[in-house]
Amino acid sequence: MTLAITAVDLVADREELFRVLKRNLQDVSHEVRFSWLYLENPAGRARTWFIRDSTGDAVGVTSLFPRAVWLAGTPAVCGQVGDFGVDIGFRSLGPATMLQRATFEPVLRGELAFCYDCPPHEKGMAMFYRLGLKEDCRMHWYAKLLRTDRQLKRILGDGVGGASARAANLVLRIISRGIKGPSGVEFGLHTGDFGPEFSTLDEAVSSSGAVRIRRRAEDLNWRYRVNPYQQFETLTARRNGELIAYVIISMTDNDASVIDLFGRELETVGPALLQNLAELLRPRGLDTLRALVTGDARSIPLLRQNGFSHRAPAARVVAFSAPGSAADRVLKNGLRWDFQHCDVIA
Amino acid sequence: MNGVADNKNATSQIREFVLQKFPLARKRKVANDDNLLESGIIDSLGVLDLVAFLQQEFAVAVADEDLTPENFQNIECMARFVERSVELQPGSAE
Repeated sequence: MTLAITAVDLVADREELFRVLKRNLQDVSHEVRFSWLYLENPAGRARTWFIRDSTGDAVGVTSLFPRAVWLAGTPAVCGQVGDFGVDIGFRSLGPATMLQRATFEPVLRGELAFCYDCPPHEKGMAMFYRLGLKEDCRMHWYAKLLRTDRQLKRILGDGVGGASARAANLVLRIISRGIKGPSGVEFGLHTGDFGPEFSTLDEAVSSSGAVRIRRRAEDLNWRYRVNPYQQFETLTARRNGELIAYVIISMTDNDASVIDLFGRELETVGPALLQNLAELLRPRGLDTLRALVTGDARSIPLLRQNGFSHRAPAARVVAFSAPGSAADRVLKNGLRWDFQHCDVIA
Repeated sequence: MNGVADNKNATSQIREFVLQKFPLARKRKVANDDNLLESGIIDSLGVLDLVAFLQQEFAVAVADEDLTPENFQNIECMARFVERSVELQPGSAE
């Protein structure tokens, strides 16, 4: 059996791309998000590869989605591996490894500083072990209870559970109100496009010794405003009208997720920002506020201070850089992966 | 060199390794032609273990392109792959 990697023409091969993606990633509406994700990303178009069998049929696919990042204080563009899938009959490690190797090519050619993937479980690490790579960092789920009604009713039943839940909800509120915010800071929902002030904030927050995605206005508008697949809400913190921090969330049935928590003075403003977020979400009947961050993310002390507790380890982050390149030297020199949910989703 | 005998030897060695390493293979009493990949008996990490075993036991090189279902879907396929690889090695005809 001869297998071959071929570059995908995002226009001419679009229908074939949809067919392979639909066979392997069934819970996503590929047509709905294609233009946005593959073509309109302000950091650049996606690079996509098929693996074809000896008959020429595409039996697997992967893509690199460009990401504007700060790499130890220097702006760079890297690529996030995504939309990776191999047909069931070809899951023998070789095809997956060949696809993954294809994503290294733009890095080796110097077009991207590095690329990274986020395998969700140990099984997904097999091809990286084969390629001689190991995880650079690990994501972790943190969560904070906003109300306890549903959990207690589920455990104790309607009668006892209802009374206990009301008491527990009251305690949760009292605990949250114990957090004091800095004076002169106002919190408010941000609607409409993200403007130049967000780019200014991205520049102002130090990323020395760390890697994180960029948060220029164009990045945020693409990721959160024109995203056809998900909706987001933004809560800002301002002093005398100046933007100093924000938190962006997405919601599913009973839970909300902190997608991005960012800003200056996060040590002092962050807890109050998260408290205001919790107060905003409680009347909506949400049970839990969750956050996905790397093990050494700067936001972890803030989350803990705000009543979040560690729930579970999550995806790993595995990066590849061209040996001997400037990015390689930085990535292998104790760089802190300051990643959040926004760094690992499309 | 006796190809039939070598293949039988490789088959039995690979079978022994599969049964020892993968509990599902023992539980289901797999036959030599049972598909180990599609049945979920061996996942991608398991393929890595198999590769390490084949490299160590039979001194064969396994390229990414060799890691196909054709070569790794069952014990017989793996044994044939080993036999072909050994034959292709320099000096194997002596």
